[in-house]
Amino acid sequence: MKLKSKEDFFKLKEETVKKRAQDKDIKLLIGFGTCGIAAGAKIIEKAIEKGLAERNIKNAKIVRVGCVGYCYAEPTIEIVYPEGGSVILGNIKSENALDVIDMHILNKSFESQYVIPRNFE
Amino acid sequence: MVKQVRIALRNCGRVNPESIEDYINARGYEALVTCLFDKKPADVINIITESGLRGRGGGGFPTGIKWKAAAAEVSDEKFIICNADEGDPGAFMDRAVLEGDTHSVLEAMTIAGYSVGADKGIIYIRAEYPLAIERIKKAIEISKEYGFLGKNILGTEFSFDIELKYGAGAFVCGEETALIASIEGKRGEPVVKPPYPAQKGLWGKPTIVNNVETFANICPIILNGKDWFRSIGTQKSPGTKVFALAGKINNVGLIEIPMGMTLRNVIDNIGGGIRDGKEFKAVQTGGPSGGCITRENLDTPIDYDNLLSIGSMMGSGGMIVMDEDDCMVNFAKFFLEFTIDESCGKCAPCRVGNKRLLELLEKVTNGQATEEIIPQIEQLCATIKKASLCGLGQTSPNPVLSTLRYFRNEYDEHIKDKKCRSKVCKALLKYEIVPDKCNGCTRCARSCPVQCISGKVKEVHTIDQKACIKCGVCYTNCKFNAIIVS
Repeated sequence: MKLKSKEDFFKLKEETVKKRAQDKDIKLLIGFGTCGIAAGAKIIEKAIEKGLAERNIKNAKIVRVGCVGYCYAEPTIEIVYPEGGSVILGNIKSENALDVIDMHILNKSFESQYVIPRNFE
Repeated sequence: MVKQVRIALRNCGRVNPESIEDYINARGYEALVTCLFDKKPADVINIITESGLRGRGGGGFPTGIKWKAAAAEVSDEKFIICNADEGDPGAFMDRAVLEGDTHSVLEAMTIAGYSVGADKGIIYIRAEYPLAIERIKKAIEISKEYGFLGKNILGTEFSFDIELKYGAGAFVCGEETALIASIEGKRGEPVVKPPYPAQKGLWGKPTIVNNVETFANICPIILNGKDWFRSIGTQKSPGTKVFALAGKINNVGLIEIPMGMTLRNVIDNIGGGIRDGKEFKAVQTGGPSGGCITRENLDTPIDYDNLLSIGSMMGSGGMIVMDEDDCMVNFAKFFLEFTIDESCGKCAPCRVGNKRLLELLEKVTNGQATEEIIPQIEQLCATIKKASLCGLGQTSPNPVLSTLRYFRNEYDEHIKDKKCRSKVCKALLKYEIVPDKCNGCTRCARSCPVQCISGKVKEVHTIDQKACIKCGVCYTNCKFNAIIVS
């Protein structure tokens, strides 16, 4: 789709923002920078996918994002809730996947041994 | 709790860099549209100039003034170059931005092109960043599909295209004239400035070379205005700076802090303190061109001018934390070795001078130096700084000069007492067995790679100091703490 004017752009923008606002899925943002991948992001992604299927969860979506900067706690997952709020988890291993899903997706808890402090707004 | 402020990293970790929808949802390409339809090129340059944005590559040259100079030139062709030849040891700010928020760099380059009248952009990126390269290629492709790049952007008269050039990992190619030479297919060697690239750059045409992080700041400034940008940071250095925090610190990571934050806050609050509860010694900023910041300057607000005044520099954003176990002479030596490897060899002060300087430092760490060596080191440093052709040589003695300034006592100890307090410089170490503690288990003698430890079973052992190679194996293996290092 080629945008040909200012109006085209703002129309697309409006549609995109609207579509996103209607999206009520829980987002799992996995750090997929070179660093995250090296620390095991791809393995974590697979484990989470498997876990979501096992728990039959349909309202959660994995998003591959760039580096968040928490090198000391890679691989990291940020869980963003549609009703607001989010929690950042660090040092996740594939065997923690079900644990993470139970605590932070089913129970929507803001606390667990995986939570690392957020140090920016 | 002191927090980071994220401008350059605003989308990193929040958007999928491979999704243009994600980017548009995060106000992506709105700045470009605003510029193209509502602002004249000169207006855009004025906003950037008045925002006070300074080059984030390290030098801190005002970005707007660079753009203005290129815009003022009359030429059939102009170029926008994004310098992604990130080479400081341990630094990865640019990689994070390019991998995490790819479109924002493309958008900012296009805005720069519109402002100065360029229709061609080049991203000079290290070949060692394959993932960033892959994402940039994808982003360029999709931007063209949407009409954010290419011919007649968004139906306007303005056309802009971006291509990639790969660097082969030469540190000196981060210097803008060497970078341009490298793109032209020549050896990556710097040339004398002026003329500046803004007047005569790539293929002799006006060229803007900006760092990745500088570009990452452009769109937020356009969207939120110069006053918003000026409200963050300090008077002379508005905005934020991204640092790759590394070394002996608990929370190693990528941070973005408002200018003017103190180093104490960075280390204690954002960095989570020194690892293993050890004593803080110094922080190196500016990589091999910078200097160290010590305890006495922990409360100095971090900005371009303050760092220069205390003998360091902002640099591109490497921040290496050192604790009591780091020897400052050895540390200066490490960076000098790096510079020697990376010197292009074009000018003698840098090529020969740094090598001679390293030999002097080796004398210090080997215990062969006498007191006359300090003035020799100082004189050589001054010569290299004054006579070198480019920034690499002009700044290469900085780690030596700054450690000399703040840690003269450590140099003196190495020279006069032949001691290294951090127990790093091997030649100055002495391994000894404490007779009272040694029970003659023979473990040390069996593990010594040069068989210089002698003694019978159940009798006190001794180390032959002349034969000892100071490898430390006996020290690590002794279960009775009977071996001491001094």
